[in-house]
Amino acid sequence: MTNEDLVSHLVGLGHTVETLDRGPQDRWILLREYSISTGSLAGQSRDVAIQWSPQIPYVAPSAIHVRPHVVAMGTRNAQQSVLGTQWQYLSRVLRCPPTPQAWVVHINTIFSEF
Amino acid sequence: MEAARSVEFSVAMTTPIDADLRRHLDKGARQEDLTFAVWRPSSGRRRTTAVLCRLLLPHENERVLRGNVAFTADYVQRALGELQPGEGLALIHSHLGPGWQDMSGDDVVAERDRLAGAAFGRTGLPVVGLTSGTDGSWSARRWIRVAPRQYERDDAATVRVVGSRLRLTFHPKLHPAPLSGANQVATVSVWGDVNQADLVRARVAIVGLGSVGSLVAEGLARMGASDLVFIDHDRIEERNLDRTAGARAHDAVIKRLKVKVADRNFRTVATASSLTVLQVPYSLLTETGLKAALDADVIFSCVDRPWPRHVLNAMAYNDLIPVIDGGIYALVDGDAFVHANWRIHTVGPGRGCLTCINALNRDDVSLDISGKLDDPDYIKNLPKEKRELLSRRNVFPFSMAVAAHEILHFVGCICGLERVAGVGPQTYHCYPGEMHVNANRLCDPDCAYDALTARCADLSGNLDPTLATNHGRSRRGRSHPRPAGSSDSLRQA
Repeated sequence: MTNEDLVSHLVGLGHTVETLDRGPQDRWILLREYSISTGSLAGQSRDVAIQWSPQIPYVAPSAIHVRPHVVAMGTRNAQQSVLGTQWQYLSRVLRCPPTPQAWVVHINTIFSEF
Repeated sequence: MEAARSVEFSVAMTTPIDADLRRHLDKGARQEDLTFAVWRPSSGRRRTTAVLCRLLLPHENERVLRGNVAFTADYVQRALGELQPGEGLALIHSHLGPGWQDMSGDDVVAERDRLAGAAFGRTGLPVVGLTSGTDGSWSARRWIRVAPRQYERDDAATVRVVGSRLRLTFHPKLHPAPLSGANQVATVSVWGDVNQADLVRARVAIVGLGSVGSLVAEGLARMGASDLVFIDHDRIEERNLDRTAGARAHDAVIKRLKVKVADRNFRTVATASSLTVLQVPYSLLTETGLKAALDADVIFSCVDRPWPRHVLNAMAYNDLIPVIDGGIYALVDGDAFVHANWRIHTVGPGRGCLTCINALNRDDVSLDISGKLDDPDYIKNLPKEKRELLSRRNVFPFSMAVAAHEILHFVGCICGLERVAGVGPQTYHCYPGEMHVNANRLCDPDCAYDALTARCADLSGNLDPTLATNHGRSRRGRSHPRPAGSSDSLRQA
């Protein structure tokens, strides 16, 4: 898969997707108001950012970034995000071959933990 | 691209492309044939390779067969029209004799006068010519633009056919077969003069000059290898002295670069009469390291980090450079040794890649890129088995075993000697003492590395951006020093 495949898959699912360019090798895929469907956050929404992977072949970044925070900082592998204080870095590795479908499952799985 | 004759030229293709060409070109003992093909550039520091990526076989009436062969203007136009941005045109034709082929006057007219200008005008790349011999040899050249409407021939130093075997054809003047001396008699007596001549002329890069890499270097030196590239940013420390071939106590005191230690040891034990050794004291994850590796015919991957191994895995397919890799796993419980095993495998087109043979996890690559594998808190919370894998425990005899088998893989890869290298990825279990072979393991159908085959994609996005800006230190505090002294230039002797 490629970053473009992921963007196109998310758009195809009806999500609002933007790309955020902050400089060389600092590009992000930004999902606006991603609806959480399971777990204690079900019914809420969060912005989700996934770093644009420059790797060939694609290597999934080892975390997603969410806004606003979903858990107290320092707990459940949640750390400060390089995107700013409103954002939270959730360290979670995608442990399967990366595909756009796997990414969506991964995001949902992460939110379902809370 | 039209530049530099100082940059060596080579051509590479996969075994399936080679087989398709042979099928098309073989018209018997009295008839030559031709085809156009598409190539992409793979650019190293000292070498540019034209990697053939697809054939544009002639349609009916697109060439004239009368003993010799000629292409029509319509065929040229169709071929040029099928090129995508970044792709060049190659003309491939057969000759009726064996070995490296020189060019007839007609051959020169066809490539230089009829094609070079049209191809350069359309693509900005030189036209590449290849000629097949009847014994499976290839010869090749490119036509470099030296002035408006003026093109000069630049012969390829090598042509590489890459599959489960790496078949090299060397230019007889640029890379003549060396005479083996009395100091190689025993070696030659095992696999013969022809194989020895191919083995010692292959350009070999060793990425990582630690325990396994330093031993591979010594083994190759004694066998007669003559063209080496050593890539490692690291320096000798006291803890390296029990498992680095050629390292001395004083090297640890002055923290000598590992590439310098390897170079010194290589020269001390080499049996070749003439040596070309390039020291590259940079990480593979820098532009300099990557470019130096792209100059090689074969790469030994003697690094244990997932990130550089991911890059090498990609290069093996993307740039058609076989990579020989190994890994050691030693399990210790407290002070008690429990078990050890090690793996040896060659990856590249025609073979399963590191991920498909379960020698590399892509999630580990992701963790390495994110810096997690240098985070003690993260490591501490991993399952014990995973922690042991990442601990990279090792002792010299384990490294000797891995290095020996990696060299055997090298011999098998170049000479096609399965009876030396075995038939696939190998895993040795210290207890009960068995070597397991995963014969003929190929990539999964949807493998992302295999999909890169002959693509020549720009892999610079795979590098560590922190190394490009800080000239020495990674964000994780690992040392990535510049060469000793102040120069950015590499060292070649």
